[in-house]
Amino acid sequence: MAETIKINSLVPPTWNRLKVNDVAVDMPASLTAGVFSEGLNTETVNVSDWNIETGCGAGLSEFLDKNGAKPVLVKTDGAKLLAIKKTCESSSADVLCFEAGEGETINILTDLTSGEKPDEASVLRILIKAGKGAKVNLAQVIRPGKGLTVVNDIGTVAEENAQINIVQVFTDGSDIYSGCRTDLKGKEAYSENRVGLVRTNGQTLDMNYVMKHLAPKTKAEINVSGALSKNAQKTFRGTIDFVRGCSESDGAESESMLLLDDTVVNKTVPLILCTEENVAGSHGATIGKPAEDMIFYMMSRGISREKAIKILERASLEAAANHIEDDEAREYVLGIIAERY
Amino acid sequence: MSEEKTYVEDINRTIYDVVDDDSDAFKLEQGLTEDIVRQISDQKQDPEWMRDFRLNCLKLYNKSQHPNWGPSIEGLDMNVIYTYVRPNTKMQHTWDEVPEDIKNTFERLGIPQAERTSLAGVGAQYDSELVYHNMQKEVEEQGVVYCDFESALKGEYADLIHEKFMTLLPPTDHRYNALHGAVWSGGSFVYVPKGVKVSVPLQSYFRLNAKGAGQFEHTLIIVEDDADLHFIEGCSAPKYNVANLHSGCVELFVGKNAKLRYSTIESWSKNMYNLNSKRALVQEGGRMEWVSGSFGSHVSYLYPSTILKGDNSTMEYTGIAFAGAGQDLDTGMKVVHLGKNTSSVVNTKSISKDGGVNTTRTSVQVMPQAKGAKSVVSCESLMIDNISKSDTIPVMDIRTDDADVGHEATIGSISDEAVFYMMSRGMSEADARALIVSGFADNVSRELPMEYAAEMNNLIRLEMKGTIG
Repeated sequence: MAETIKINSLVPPTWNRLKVNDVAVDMPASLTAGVFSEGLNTETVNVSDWNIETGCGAGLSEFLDKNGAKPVLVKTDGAKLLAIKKTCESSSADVLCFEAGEGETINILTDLTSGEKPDEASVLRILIKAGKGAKVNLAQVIRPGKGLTVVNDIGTVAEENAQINIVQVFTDGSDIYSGCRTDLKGKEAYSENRVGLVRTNGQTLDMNYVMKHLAPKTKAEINVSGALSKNAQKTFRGTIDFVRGCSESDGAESESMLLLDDTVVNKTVPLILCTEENVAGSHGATIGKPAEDMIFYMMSRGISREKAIKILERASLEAAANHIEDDEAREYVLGIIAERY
Repeated sequence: MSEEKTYVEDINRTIYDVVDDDSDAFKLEQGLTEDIVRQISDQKQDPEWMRDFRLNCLKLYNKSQHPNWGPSIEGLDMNVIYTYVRPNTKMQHTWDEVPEDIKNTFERLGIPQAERTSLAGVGAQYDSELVYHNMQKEVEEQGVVYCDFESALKGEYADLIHEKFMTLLPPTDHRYNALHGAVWSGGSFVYVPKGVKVSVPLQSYFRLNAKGAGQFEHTLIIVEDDADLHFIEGCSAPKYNVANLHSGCVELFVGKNAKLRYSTIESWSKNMYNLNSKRALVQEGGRMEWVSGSFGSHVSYLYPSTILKGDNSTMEYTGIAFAGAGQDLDTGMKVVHLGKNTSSVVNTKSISKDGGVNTTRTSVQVMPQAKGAKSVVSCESLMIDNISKSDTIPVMDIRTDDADVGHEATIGSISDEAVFYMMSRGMSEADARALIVSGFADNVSRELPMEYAAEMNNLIRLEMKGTIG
């Protein structure tokens, strides 16, 4: 590994001893740009005009610049679903940009897989602009092979009445670093993030999700469900930021985590920042082991404890995947989950 | 139709802002040097170990940095702070012996009256030294020790204090623990023997009178197995146009099946930097209760922390913070679950108005061995206007599957639905809104003895007229 980058910074920070203010990620010496955009209809784009911030933040931006990952604007050409399926062969870094014009709807699916890839990294940044009344549905499945470091970073801006729905499914495999930031810039803009995750065998998932309410009557929701076992570690930073002027806005984040043994580390950091009086922000978390009566019920029906645990892991992922709006994308993702769990 | 806006009054500080003449007080020079630390040690007639401890703390302080999180403390310049100011009196055991002006100050604050009606003992500190300390004979006969810290350091419990002093709050923890270790002065020592239940609270009141001074009192409480104590801490200062500093330390040891309730009503003036540290260690079956009201100071860093070491030990934290103009209050709590079947219940509320900033910062850690741990954290914030700020920064770090952890946070203004409901039952809109705001703080005042609940209500004084918004 050639470089260590710091990403997913918590703003504002808290006690250093808790080790949640950011995360250090070891990255390989060289990455190839253009892997994700292969086969897509793209054109170059100057993202500085877009002025979009992302969840992983400036640390990743510098790294992408240094590695020549040039942003490209992906043309959907009116496709009902734009599916981008990649198998990672070697380290790559890409920035894909999507723009939904006024009243337009775009459905995007990304699926990342790999074989065993020690010391390799896949970096994908997605930038989305949703114009007035537009709707963007992004579904992501990340199912890396052992050893691959995955950095998945999203930045979006929603104009008046725009909707951005993001559903992410992270299966077990290797370490994943995920960032997502949505700026609800226009009145009555709406955004929803749903994440299903399974982590096991010492794998890490480090997340930084930010919903910034900048206009009146905006609404946002972050919902995380997952299961951890066998020395897995997960950090979820979720920030709802009500900026002065976003009156009558509503932000909610919720988390439901199953801890399947006592070797896991589950960190949850759900921030609510508020400089506006007339808003409603809330957070709720339930963290613990599965109810024994539920396990017992399944065992009494002839299901082994191991299988029962698999069912719960699958349920955590399906809880998110069921919210994928596009039928084809949803069936695809549910199929992957069913096959794997 | 004209709309009358709700007026939420600032805290009435008249009784806190009276300044006594301190021209006859003894002051060390401003700043923080080895010579000043040695002079404080001389003034206190420290045992040798304490003098060495102070000097080591000064070295740690000089090597440490300001925290890189939390509100700005750039306005605090230690080079101009008086770390030691001794009033021109010795500690007395009757109020009649206390100098008239100082006694009048404490009278205005209601301390002698509270002692007569509802306390088992009182310690009153004025700047760097205690001026009054007394405890009811009946409580003394139970074997309870409640005395000024300096006496305890040289008396029967000297070895115990040597063993415990700044072990819960080590000077290596952060810059302001190190500062405290170097210049501490005053404070109280409480020892409640095994099985003794003190039915009436003890109270220490800390009054900082001198302009540009720091107060660094140390409180050490040991509640032995099966014992029970309620300790109340109050603090205030008049307002000056220069920075004052409060950097006290509170170390609490709660024995097996013992119970300690520690209540604080803090109403420092708005030029005060309140960088205070409090920590409790709770043994098997023990219970720690914190009741905390933060109303004053310019900047506060205040997070009472609890280590639930023993199996079946429990903690409950109830706190409220009220930030008005010019105030940046960073408050909250920390808990570490180490024992099996431990539980923590946390309920925080904050009210922000007139540009005031509230940050509620919490941390719940459940370690792998803490099987069966339960934790519930609830943070509620109320924004009275849109020039204020309210942030909630919780962290949960869970390292066992056998834990049940819940957290909920809400932030918002007064609910129109609730107002409408009450109006439909015959209340005026103004009364409905007033009731909601008063009720918001009610769960904290219910946890306090009646006299202190009244003081808190006086501090909040949410006088409502018309509608909010």
